[in-house]
Amino acid sequence: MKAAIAGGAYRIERQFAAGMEPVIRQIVRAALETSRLSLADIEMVVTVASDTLDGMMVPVRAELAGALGKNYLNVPSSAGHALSAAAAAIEAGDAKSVLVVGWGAASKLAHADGRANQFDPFYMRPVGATPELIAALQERVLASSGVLTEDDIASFEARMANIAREDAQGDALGAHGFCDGVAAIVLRRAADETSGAIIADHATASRSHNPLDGSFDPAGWVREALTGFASARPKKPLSQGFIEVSGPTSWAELRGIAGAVEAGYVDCSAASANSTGGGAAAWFGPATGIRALARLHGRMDRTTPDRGLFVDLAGPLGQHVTGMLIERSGA
Amino acid sequence: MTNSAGNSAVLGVAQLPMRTRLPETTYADLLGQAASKAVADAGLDLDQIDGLLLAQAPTTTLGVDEPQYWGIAGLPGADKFLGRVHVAAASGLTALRLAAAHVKSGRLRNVLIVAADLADEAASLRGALGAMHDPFTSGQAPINAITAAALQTSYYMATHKASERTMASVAVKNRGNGALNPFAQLRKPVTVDEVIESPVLSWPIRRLDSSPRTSGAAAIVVGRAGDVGPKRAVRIAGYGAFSGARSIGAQMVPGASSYLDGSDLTEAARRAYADADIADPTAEIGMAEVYASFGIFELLSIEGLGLCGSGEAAPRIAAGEFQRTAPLPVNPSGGATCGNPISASGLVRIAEAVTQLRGEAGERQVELKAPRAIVTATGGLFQTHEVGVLEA
Repeated sequence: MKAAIAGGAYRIERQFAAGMEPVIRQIVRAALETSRLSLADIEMVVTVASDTLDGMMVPVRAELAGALGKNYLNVPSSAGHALSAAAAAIEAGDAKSVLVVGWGAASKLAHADGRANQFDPFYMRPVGATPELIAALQERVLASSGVLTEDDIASFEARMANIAREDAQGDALGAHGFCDGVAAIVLRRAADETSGAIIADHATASRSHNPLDGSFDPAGWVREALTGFASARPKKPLSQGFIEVSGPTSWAELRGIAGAVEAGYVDCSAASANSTGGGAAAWFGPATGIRALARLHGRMDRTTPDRGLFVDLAGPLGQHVTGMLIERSGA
Repeated sequence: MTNSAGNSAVLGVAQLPMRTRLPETTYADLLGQAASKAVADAGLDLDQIDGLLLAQAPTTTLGVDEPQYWGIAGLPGADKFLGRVHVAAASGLTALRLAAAHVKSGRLRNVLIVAADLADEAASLRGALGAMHDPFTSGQAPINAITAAALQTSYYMATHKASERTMASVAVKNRGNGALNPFAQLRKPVTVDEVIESPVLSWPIRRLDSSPRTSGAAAIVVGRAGDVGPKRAVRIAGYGAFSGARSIGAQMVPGASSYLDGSDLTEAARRAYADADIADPTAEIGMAEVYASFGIFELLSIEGLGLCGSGEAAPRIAAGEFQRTAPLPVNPSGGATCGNPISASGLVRIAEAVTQLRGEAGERQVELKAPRAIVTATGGLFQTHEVGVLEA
């Protein structure tokens, strides 16, 4: 039994003035409303809350997300991992309905980037590794290898930033798009959901933070993830399909789109991809990708393409990839 | 949610000897050692692992946030990383649920779960764990794992008229069991007098009633029941979970007293038994490995799992029941009293139960009246509960 997206909601701001808790409750309620379900209908709750950007004890996270008395799972590593976990629970018959809630307060990274603490203490930290330095290195490698130009990045970044500003209701986000955010998705068994979008397939590919093969290009990891789909690759690329990639940087997202095109799943230009605004332009931690999927679901109607790809890139290099093949219900 | 565990099974297990300090070992070393042993135990090649879960929590003890970014390097299945699971000390069993879902859905064949802790990396483990608490409520009160367990213990003693000597019998049983367990950190048996005379941490919790600070690692492989020889695959017959309230104060009032009586665990067990088609756990279960970082956790677990009535566990242990040689042994490994690497503690419970169900526990092997074992894990301050039923 495949999983379907029944509803979703999200909110991003430069910084939540009243803190995270009331926003989490608001977004959970909103996601349930769009799915026409109540919390009592939910059998399992999955949260995505990064240790670095959260600081909450596990039972606090669980209750805020609505998990009291339910099956609960916290998958802090990425939105894609959490969404895969939720989809697998439905496919396995463990739950009929799953609420996935993610949040993060990246506004706290404005002055001191605590994510430097993520790096290997024996090699990376002594040489001054920070997420910004690693990202700059990755950009340099991709640019010097000729797969990206500064013009590519600039135009793509500008379009993503416009969408992020629209989502933040004009609020100017922080440096590097850092913001506070909460996003939620409700998954149900496809047989119980007639108006949602079906997760037709999903698969992952990963590298450690220091890729052993020396590659820094997310395109290859995306190609690899998509080969993990159980279903056969379409005979022709989805020329009318959509491709939405959420990643830590705009160039990682661009290379993610390129990877999906190279894998033969979609046939599109960067200019027509990422109608959701991706993740880098409004980044609130590993949960960021849920916003893209929630926005995509909210905009899916009879006028949008029947099928497409959602790709989540997590980690400093975007090296933890989750690919999802999304189909509109009844398509 | 009937028989949700379906055809999934534990194919391989491994644990490393638990120690207070492992000064020449990195976190990544521990994960790698446990992983390769578990895969070998399953009789698989490393490249047959097609999914990897890291059950790691809390990260405070490591000094590394988001440890997946370097901890998975070189591990089997790392190229198909499924994510890190963090439900505190319950992580091992929540990861089991997740791995079983991936296997049952048909998407993956063999999922490796690994966890490790280097508790000595934090200057003060109690301080590090205290940092997890809500700064606006629990953080303002003298609440930590020990004082919270003391509250439960004193309530149990007052309600059930249990003496300190009776309560001490839990630690005596477990330390005796741990003496036979080569993986245990504490392998010296203790007496009731020694428990009672050990320093008070927060009355009535004493040092010998509390789990030690532990470094260690464990790993398991979850796959399909038919994929290894029938004697070695241990079927995941069922599981149940219950996520409790954010504040233990909310669980100490009339009508919502689960922090004091273990009723949230009872609900998780009810779900697991329904999943595994178990009607009478006292007759159908052969042994239990329960997460008990303090003696009170074991008492509430035995009662919450329906293995005896409310208030009966302490006197029955003192009278010789639930011992290693009894018909329904609980924590024949010695439990967390003899070693508690927090992240790996759930996987250790699974590894011990699987080893017993296979009949491979050597000197600590128990006689099983039924080929089923219960494993439990608990997150937070006895707040989030996971119960699994394993079957040989």
